[in-house]
Amino acid sequence: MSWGLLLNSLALAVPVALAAVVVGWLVALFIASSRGWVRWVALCGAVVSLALPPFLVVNAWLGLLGNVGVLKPWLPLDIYSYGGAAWVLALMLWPLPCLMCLGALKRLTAELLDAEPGLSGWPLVRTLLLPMTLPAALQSGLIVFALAFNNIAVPAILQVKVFPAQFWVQFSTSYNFALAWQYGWVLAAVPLGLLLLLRGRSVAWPWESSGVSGEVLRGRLGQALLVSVTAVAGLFVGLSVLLPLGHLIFDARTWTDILDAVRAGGQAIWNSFWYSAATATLVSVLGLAAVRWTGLRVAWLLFFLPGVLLGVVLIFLLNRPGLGWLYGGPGIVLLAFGLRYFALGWEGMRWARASMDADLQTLTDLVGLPWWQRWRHLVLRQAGPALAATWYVVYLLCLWDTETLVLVVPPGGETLALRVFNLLHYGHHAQVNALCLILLLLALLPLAAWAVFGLLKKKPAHD
Amino acid sequence: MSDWLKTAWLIGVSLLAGCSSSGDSVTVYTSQDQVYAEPILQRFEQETGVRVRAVYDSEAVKTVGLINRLIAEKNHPRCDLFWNNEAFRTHQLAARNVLAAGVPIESFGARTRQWVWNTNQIGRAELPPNLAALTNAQWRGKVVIALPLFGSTATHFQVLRQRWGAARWQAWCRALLANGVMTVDGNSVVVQLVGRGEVALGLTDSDDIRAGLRNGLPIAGQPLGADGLVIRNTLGHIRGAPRPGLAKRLAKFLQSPTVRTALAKAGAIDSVEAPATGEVAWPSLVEANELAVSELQSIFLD
Repeated sequence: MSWGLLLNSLALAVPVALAAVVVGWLVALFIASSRGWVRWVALCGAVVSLALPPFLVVNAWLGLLGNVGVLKPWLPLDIYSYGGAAWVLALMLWPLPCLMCLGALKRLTAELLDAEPGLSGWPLVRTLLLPMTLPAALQSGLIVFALAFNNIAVPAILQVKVFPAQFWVQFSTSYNFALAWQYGWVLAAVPLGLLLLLRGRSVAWPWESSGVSGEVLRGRLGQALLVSVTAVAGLFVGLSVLLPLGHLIFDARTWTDILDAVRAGGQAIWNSFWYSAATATLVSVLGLAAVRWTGLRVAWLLFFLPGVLLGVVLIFLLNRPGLGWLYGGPGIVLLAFGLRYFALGWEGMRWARASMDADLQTLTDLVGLPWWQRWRHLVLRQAGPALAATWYVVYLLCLWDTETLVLVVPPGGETLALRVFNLLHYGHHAQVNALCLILLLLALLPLAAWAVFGLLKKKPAHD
Repeated sequence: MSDWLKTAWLIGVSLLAGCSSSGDSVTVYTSQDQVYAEPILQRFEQETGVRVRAVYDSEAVKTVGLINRLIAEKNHPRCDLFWNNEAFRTHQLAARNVLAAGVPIESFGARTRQWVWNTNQIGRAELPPNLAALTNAQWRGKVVIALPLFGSTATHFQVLRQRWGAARWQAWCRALLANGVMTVDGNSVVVQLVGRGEVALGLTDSDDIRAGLRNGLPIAGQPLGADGLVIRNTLGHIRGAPRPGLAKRLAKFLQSPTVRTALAKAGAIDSVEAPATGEVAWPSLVEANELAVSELQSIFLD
């Protein structure tokens, strides 16, 4: 094992985590203090930023700060460096701390603010908002650290040598699965160790309460702070979303190739959608069913283990006579995705359940409501958004996943993400851009469906 | 409630097993570019009525996902034919008894390792005379290659090791690195960076250069001469394949002049047969792979 590469990875992941937490916290404060379409734009910006493929983000920055980048004559920064890699990774990962800190900020109540009517501006931040959001900031920082530590695509392009490269070399050159496992375990062990530190701490997610209104918080933040967080939010949403998205959308060939891409990849589009939707549903349902089994926390190991190693295990276990119906069909995909993302579904369901009113649960038990009525009147009403958000996170991760699937994908079962990476290798950039756009639309599809559902639900009330 | 469960179970099982029927079909794993391979396999389906179930490789695993999968599936093969767009890894499979004994590895069509340069920055006349010249100060920080641990660059470097001998080769690799060569994670990235003008010169494959030209990049390519490598498409018949007869039929089709013309027209292989650059002793290359990889790793990664 190369200790030098391990230290390189640590040296990259630490500043990424720090930067992502600071930016995410400031953007969260902006979202919490804004209202109307501005709030939605910033929230959607955070989600889209998480859904953008890494190569798109790196390419956009090479176009600006590469050796012949547009800004290079005026801004002589070296993008091929630790700093460059940390900058790009932080831009990709700040939405995680943002969403988690936003959840913590939503616990702020009008009563809490009224208790100290004179508290505003920086003293408000120091004595109330920072302590409130500190656990969420710490937890999200650890998650960002884990993701940055395991990232190979961004550092590789920006000439930073990192530890995950050693795993890939073993896997790609020696075909020695035992040796690959040795490195794979290290990749899983570091983030897992950090997650164990989080054990037992509650995580605040944005759906838990409606919080104070944006106007009230704006009034208490003060002009200087408000201008600062607005500037940071505008800058980072713009840099993280508009820059790469503009790179995609303003390339004329993206649009000329989109019909061909849909025609050639129709099956892959459908596969991506239904594999992701089915896995998200499966994982959510199973997570809910197993919500009381705390020992299942060990499933996080499968989340952090390199996906190809999970694939090797599945081949070993399931590529046997009599199991062709499972191994040769979509069942293996659902199983692989399900195992990889079960921890997320399970943890999400635990958080959702924790956000439900315990007295009401006891009451429904005493009344003896049938399960479906309990679902309709208690679970969906109190934890519906939490369930939906968990489903959506798993859905998004499945859409982009390639490494879990690549060793077990059945013939004809190719997904859009696999197709994108295949075409990318051979330089078909226009088709790749078109497929990325389709993937982004697939990512936004559930949100659109949710919005339409919300409108339809509201309509009778107005009539 | 029990009816509901039964229905859900039936739907679930049907969904899970939905794509697993094989019928009169042949399963091919291919690392050939999907854009090129798909229409050819569809043509085979139309001409023969045999359904082709294809699995393509992915850059996500540095294009060796299929090799690892074939090794992992060795005891119960699902694949009938492996269509590789290079030769080294097919020979590695043969060495691991994944391929059928007594059936030779077939090869057809060829790509070549080439210089790629940005035409706005340098001219053809300024190209280095050979690979050894890349270590001259003139090229300091101006050259990009794919990390020589993956793909055709790895094969090329190992072939150079075989030709030059380990000592000379190691010295060259170290000098190359000391001269500020940029290493990236794929040949298409090499072409992109040269096309953008990030670096003036690169080493890549001829099909990647054609892809770059199609994308309108200001680049040109030229074979490497005596230091070059011809990369042939290879076909490996899997040991214990479920449908060996259909695999042979597909292999014959893939080596037909029609397919060769189609691949050349699409840019997947060179339209002109490349000049000979010396035979490669594949078995000894496979044997030396582990040592060469560890040397490359210590030079370029550690």
